[in-house]
Amino acid sequence: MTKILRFTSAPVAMLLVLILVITTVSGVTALFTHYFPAIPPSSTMTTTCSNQSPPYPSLVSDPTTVAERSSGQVSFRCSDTDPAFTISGGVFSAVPFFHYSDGTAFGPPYATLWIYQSDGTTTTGPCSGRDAARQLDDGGTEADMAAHSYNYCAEYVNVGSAGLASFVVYWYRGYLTNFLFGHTAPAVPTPATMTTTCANAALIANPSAVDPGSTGQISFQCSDTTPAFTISGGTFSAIPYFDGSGFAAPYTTLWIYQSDGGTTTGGCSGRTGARQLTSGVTAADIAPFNYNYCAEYANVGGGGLPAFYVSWTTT
Amino acid sequence: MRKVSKLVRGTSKGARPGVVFSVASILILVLVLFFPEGILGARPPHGTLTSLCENANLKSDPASVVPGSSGEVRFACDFTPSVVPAFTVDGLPPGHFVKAQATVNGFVAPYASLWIYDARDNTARPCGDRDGHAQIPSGKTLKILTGDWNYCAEFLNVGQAGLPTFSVSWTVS
Repeated sequence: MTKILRFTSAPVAMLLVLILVITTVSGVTALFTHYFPAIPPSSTMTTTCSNQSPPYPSLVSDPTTVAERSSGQVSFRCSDTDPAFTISGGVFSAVPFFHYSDGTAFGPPYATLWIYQSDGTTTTGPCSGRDAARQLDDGGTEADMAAHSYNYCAEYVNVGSAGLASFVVYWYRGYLTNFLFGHTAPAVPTPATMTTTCANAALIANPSAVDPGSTGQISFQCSDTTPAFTISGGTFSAIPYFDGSGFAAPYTTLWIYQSDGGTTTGGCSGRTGARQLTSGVTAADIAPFNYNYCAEYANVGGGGLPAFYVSWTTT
Repeated sequence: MRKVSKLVRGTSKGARPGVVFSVASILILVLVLFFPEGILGARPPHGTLTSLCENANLKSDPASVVPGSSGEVRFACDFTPSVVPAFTVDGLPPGHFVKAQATVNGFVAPYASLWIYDARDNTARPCGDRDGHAQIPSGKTLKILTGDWNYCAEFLNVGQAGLPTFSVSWTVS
């Protein structure tokens, strides 16, 4: 046995170590490599002002009013700093549906609805001439819209006194499938005005006479058929002045009311659209209607009711 | 018996070194020829780790990711019309495994972690919840059971550029 061990001494031991090293090293075997592809971003179409989620915002228009009988175009966006919507990550296809907010079909005075690149070089003028302009087809697929930020542009023709009505746009990924978001475009009124047909002239009173000792109210208007004044094109704010004009006892309060409203008789405060006036104080945001005056009086004397005048100035 | 002893005695004295080295050389040659994968570090008998798309691009699911999103993406040789697993461990009794090492290159943010999972798990859930899930430790040995395997990578807050390419090279020891 000792001899056998001797036999396997130095040279053979080194040989075994060598074999061990060789076999150990040769024991690592490369198999294969897997290459993982780059994964591109998905294209998306997003908005910061969907009318489907709180606070249910509306788009804002530019301009905010349109002149009666004018033609032109109006733009809509989420805000001064946010476009109506943004497509990113590649081209995107979607289907818009749009109609007036009351459910009627999109039509006159609007003529066409477009989208355009909100941060392009041409963002004014006719809709069709703006960067990346694309006319929308109600219910049609807008294929491969490029990755930009977009606003709406609507062309209108010969707008009436009521201005442009509110409309809505709903975007879907497919035809009425995979809803994306909705937008509400606000009404664009004609500029608000306050007009009268009897400026610097006498109004007529109704009733035309009052009984001495009586208490009640009396209305004033331009004529039997025309109101004292008219607000149109939107709300209007103005300041009435009547102190020192003769408006004194037995008059007590002065009001305006909607001359063609549902209630035009009885106590001033109960009439449609009634608003008490205070001399020198702004009557803010008067709604666009026709108005007459209504004055309350108490215990009329023998001289009847005195004459007075009201002057209006803008705020 | 005496002759044997003589032979041993004579050899031990290094009287015939040429014979020793000849025997050693033949022994090494035999080892290299018949045990090319080594002896001590050899893969388990008959176990194989193979892929139908070796040295090629895998397919991802999903094929694109939403900028700003976080989630996971699966990789296999193919997903359509049916799943072709990224690789397969075969040739072993059920419950046995091969020891393999993955060398990962280019796996950077927004990627966060890389896993393998049982390719039969076709559900949508995080990598770490998938059947057979095991995180890949680059450069370290991973014991992989017999079966079909896919990759799963988790990512965080992917940017506008999407997810980058990377590679995994497998060796067994």
